Amino acid sequence: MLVCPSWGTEGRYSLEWCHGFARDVTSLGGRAVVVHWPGFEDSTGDPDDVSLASMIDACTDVAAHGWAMAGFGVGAAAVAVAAERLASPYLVLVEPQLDPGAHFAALARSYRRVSLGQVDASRWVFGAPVPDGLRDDDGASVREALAARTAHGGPTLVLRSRDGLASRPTDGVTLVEVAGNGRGDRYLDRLPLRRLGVKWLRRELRRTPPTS
Amino acid sequence: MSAVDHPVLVPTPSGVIGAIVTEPVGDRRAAAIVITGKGASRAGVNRMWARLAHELAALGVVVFRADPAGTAESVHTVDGADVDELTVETARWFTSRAGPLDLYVIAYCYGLASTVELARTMSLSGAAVISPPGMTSPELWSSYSRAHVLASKVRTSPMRAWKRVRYGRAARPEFGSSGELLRTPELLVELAERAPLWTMTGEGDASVALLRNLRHELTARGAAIEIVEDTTIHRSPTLRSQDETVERTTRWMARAVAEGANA
Repeated sequence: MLVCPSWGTEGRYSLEWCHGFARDVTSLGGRAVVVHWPGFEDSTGDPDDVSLASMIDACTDVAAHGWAMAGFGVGAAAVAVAAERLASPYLVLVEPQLDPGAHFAALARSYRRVSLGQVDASRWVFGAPVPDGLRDDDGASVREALAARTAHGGPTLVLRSRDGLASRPTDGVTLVEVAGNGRGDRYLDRLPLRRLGVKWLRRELRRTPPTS
Repeated sequence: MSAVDHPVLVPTPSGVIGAIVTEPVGDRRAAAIVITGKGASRAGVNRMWARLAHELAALGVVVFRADPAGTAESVHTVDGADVDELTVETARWFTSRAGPLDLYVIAYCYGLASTVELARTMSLSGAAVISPPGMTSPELWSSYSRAHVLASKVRTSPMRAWKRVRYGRAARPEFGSSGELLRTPELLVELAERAPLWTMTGEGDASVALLRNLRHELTARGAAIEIVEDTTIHRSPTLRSQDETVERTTRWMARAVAEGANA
């Protein structure tokens, strides 16, 4: 399974969930890889050059045909498209932000609010750059990929906090909501989201075992 | 390319620590450990520490930076693992492989406590402390009696226990109640006595008053203090603060390595 964090500060704070979920996957008999986007954490590259397309390319470079995929936040948008390209048998979208443009606009508003309007939040939010390629993407390719996936019945799970800001899923996916708004960031393991993701994966593996 | 990153998993009694060793392509002149402080990943905000590692590697320095216990790739360490002890453990692992090189430490914020622990157990050729913890107000804390603190812990522990079971562990340390943070002045003085110390902070940081108050004590022990004007270094909130941290730390290391070579 390919496990993808979000971007920027949220990307950093989703790493614990990603590594935790990766380990959970091994308890199901699988292997998992946690990706660092180009220009993010340990991966080289200019963060200003990152776009949803380059994140999708990173997924398809790392993963092979038929890998399961999971993504957190904006990472969910990237894996949604990559999963369709690589015929992923299982797809887990956690607190998905399927419209990166709207997500980063909301983050910029939040950043301006907490700094009492003293900052320029157009390219820079909470210590992390927001490249044009993400800020200007309305997620059309994500919606298209998810529609195609649900049309042929590809198993897809959306895990989100009921009162949070994550995207509402399209029809045809399994939606599981947990209580709260997902901002209890002192509890970075986010165990409810891990446990429910593993439970769904276990059920899907029984129902439609992987072919290879 | 002037450096190569090697991802490593360091076994410790408390679990596996995920780290990166950045190795210069040419001659090795020194070794350095970056201690990012609790809650921060080894790459830092906007890859700040990853960039620094490559800048230092260009000077011939082998750099080791690990995710602290309970953080990012080191999330699987056991509950309650002691961050300072694990830092010493991983430093031993690194130095035993880096060979007989001068060892430097670059510590950020709470990494100061781990650095002092390291300095007590191994010889350091130099230490850089960036934005040391600034919440040091023993007068404020002494106004709370032990009974008050204990009562507060008893009152909140059921909720904390319930949240821990439901949501998992708190990867972020509870800075406000950490006794170590209140000891910043004595930790800095002790470190200055044990190793050549260079410390920097931003004019907008809480630690600036502390460093100004300690100036005489630290400089008397040979330490150097840099205060970056018109910016905040703590939490690296802007590109400028990140650039200042990387550039000034690189300059310090270049000076330190050159002085080490001359000595």
